[in-house]
Amino acid sequence: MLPKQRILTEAKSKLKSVRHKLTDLAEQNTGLLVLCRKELADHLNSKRFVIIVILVALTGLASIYAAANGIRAATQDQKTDFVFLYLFTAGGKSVPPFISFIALLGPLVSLALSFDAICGERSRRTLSKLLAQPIYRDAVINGKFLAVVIVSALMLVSLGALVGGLGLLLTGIPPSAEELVRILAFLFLTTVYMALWSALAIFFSVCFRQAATSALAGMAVWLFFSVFAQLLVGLVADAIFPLTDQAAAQIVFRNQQLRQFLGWLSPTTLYSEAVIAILNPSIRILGPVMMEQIEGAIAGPLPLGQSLLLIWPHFTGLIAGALLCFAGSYVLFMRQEIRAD
Amino acid sequence: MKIIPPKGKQIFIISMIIMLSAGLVVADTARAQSGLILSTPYPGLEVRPGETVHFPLEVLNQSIASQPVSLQVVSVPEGWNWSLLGQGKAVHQIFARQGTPQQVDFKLEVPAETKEGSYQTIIRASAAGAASNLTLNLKVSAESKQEGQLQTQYPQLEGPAGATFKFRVDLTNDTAKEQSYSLSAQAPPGWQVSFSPAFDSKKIASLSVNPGESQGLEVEVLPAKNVTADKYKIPIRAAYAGGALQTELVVTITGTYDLILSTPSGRLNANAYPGQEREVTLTIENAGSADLTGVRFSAREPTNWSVRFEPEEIDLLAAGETREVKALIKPDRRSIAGDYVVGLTASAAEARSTVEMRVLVKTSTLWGLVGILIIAAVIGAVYRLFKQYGRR
Repeated sequence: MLPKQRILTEAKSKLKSVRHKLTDLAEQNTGLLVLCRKELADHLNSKRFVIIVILVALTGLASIYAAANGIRAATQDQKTDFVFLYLFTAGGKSVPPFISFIALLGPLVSLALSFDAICGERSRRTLSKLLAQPIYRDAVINGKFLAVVIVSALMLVSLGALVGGLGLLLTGIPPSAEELVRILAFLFLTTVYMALWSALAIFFSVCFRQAATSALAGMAVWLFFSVFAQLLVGLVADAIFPLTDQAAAQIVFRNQQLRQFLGWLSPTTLYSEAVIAILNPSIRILGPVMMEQIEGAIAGPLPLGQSLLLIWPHFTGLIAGALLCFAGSYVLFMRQEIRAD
Repeated sequence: MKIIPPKGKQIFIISMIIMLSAGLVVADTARAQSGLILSTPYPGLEVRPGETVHFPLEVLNQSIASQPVSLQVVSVPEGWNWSLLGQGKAVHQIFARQGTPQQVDFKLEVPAETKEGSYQTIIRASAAGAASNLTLNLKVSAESKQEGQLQTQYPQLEGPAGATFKFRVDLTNDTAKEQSYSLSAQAPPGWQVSFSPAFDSKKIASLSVNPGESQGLEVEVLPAKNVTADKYKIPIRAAYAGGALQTELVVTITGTYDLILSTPSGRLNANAYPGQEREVTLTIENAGSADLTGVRFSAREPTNWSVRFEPEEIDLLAAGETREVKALIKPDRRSIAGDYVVGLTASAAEARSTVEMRVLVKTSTLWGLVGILIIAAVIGAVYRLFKQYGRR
């Protein structure tokens, strides 16, 4: 046999085996895909989802409208090259910017969509029936998580497109390729952030039998990270490195460093910092800076790659957090005893 | 034949002697009395070698009847050119009316190689029954009075390359006639020399000056673009019909010092990573007209950065020479990503040049890889959980 033909047949057999593996994987996960599709349909048809989407869309559009109205003066002051990104990061006089709304409401949407993911089934007594179907047990939790992530992504992409379209209409300035990539990165980052909160909500819904308890626990965590975490971080940092009038610069710097480090334990802080850095190219560093580090530095936008590198730790933290939360709920769910009562 | 008595014979002889001697003594007057006079106002003249002299001759017919008079040069020093001119034409005859003087111009060129001394030229005018000789005495001497002058009060000017030098030159006509002077200069290649009358901007190539008068001239000298520091002599010449007047102008170009520091492509930005040396090629050009010695390089960089140069010093940078220099820029290990300004300076004792380099510091992708590894580890852990608990 010619070597060429041999290579060809080898490649063919390899391709066949890969295809086999893929079909095997699909067959193994038919339950997951069916469940995911069902969950997706449930979410999209639920009144809960409609209410939340309307809330998010209205606030988002309001902030974009306010930003677009003030954009002319703002761009003249700031002399930024990234006018389109400015729509997302700037607010009006009384309306906070779009990214603040998303940072606040994103977790709420995730919590609202999945606080009763498992315990709801349990209280409706459908979980045992579901598991009686010829599907793997993890298909249930995987499918629910996947469906919530897809719904979040869908919502964010359509919201982003809506906001972009409105911005284009109001300002008449098309986004550059870099701006587009930055916006897509922002949407992806937000999807990951929402996935983290969904994973947390699912974890609570596995933990608690009552849907209300699960929702309350989720809300408590959300409130803690949104409001109290920063206060607590300040408290701890000031206790370790007290800031007095005579405090040495070293102490002040350490205090700031500690604040930042503790802040990174909160997904909310991670997310806000990452979003600011990705949507505002002129941000070069997050956290305290020594004077000697910025000596000779000139104001200028950071290239996209550098911005991404800057937020890479945040991104890693968020993805790892989301996966860990999901892993926790997965383990908990798999070890739980489910009786057909 | 009649016999002359002895007494009478004596008387005759005596009278003959008297007549003859009288005739000898008053030979010229006798000839004058014969009626033709060739004359010139100044038959004795001092001339310089190479000069051309004009003798206005006058032929006066006093007594003989009006008739043509032949003119001929009887003797002339060897090698001298001459011509008789009447209304611009060479003539050899002149019509002399009785009692009316006739003019003719005698032009004599004294060869440049003529030795000093006295020379004679004889011209003869002859007609039927009368003739006249005119002897011209020429004393050739090198130091004889000039027939004009080209003078300048400040023959040496000094300035940097690129400057325009203006000389004030006075042209004096000491000849007896109005002269037309044609002006020229012998400048080095690439130089421009122009003449203009004093207080006038017109560029002229020639001018005429009345006898005894002097005319101010402005000589403008524009050196060549790539002129190097040196002393340059520019002879200028005003040629006229009888010769030429000369003088020499001197322009001293003082060196200009100009350094230009740049990059081969003109690009003044570079990328660098924190704590890593980055090589930037620079070009250093001596754009001045003098050599520069000891060109040193220095940098104004942010704190904790380091900038080295290779070579650190150039001993000699000739005028117009361009050299490449390498700058090794090393940002601070802890510097933040983004743009920084690093000032790079090349300086010699006479000149300096600074460029501002925009250095974009990029953070290393190492931490990005670490992030990817962490995510991969987490995914791996979740996958293990799937394997462990899933598919029950």
